[in-house]
Amino acid sequence: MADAHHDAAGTPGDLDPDAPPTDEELREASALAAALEAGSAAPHDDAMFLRSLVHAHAPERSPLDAERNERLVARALDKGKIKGNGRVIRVLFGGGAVTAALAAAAAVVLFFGNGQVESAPKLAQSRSTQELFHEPFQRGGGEAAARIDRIAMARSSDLRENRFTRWGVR
Amino acid sequence: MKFTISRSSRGARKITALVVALLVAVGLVGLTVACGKGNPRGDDGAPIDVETMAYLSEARSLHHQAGIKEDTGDFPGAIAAMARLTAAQRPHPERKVPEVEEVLADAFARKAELELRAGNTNDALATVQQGLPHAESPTFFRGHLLEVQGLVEKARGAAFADAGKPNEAKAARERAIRLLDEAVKVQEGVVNASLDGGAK
Repeated sequence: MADAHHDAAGTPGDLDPDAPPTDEELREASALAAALEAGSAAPHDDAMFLRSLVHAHAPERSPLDAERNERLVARALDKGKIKGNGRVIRVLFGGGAVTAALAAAAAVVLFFGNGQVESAPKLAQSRSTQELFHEPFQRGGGEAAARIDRIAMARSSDLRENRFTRWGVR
Repeated sequence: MKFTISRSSRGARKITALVVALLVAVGLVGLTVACGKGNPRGDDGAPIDVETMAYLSEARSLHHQAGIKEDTGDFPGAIAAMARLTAAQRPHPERKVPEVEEVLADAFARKAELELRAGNTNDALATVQQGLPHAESPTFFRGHLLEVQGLVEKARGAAFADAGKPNEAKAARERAIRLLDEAVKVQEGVVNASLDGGAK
């Protein structure tokens, strides 16, 4: 839309909304009214913009005819269609092959690396306490208590070491 | 890696699919095998943890409690202390913790010894039989249980003889000899393995 009114006013601070329309504004208004009356047949940028606003706000006021609707839908669907199956298969198989190659590479590294991969900190494992004893057990309550003392103390030490290892204290 | 497949060549697609499937299968199998080798220590045990330590501490307390009662001649009290241990909640019930199993085996052995000293040979026999499943490997723990079982059978033989049941007495004595012999073999095996470096 021409802004002769604004241009005539000079700076924005001098704009007078109550000023009478200029001749140019009156011509533009007449042309817009004529374009709106004529419908889409008349090429007018401002008229097209206003019609778009009306369609967006209240599409039921200007329903599409069935033939045009089908044409638009068909065109939209045609754009979304994947052209041919070959590309899909290539992408799919290509992805599968890459995955397989990565898996095989990881397997090779882990399998033939033989400990080259950094392992987790070594922690004392739960295991038989047999190693704490070097002769058959003697009978009697005192002996039994001494055995559990030895087991508990040994594993207490292991637990403490595990804590230090987890904390990174060496 | 790029696979170019003609839209019209269905045979080529099948071959390519086969190759990809083969690669995936090889990769997966390789990964599975490699992950199986991921533990360089080859150690199946779990790390010693607080729960196991708490159980061992509880066992220690109950053993000493039983000792105090035993020293004062309170055998029922000592047996009750051991019964508390054998019935105590165990850590990680979903798996066998070696320390817990061995402590249990030893607790059953001590309880059976106490019951034997108290004259309850039938209870002692039942107790030692409860303990054996906790010491299936040839260890000092199993050897000790077998030794106690042999002594229980020896006591039962004497009791049968006193009760005028010579056949039962003879059978019990034979079982005692067999069990004590088995205990000796287990203990010798453990000692020999230790000398060979099997146990350090």
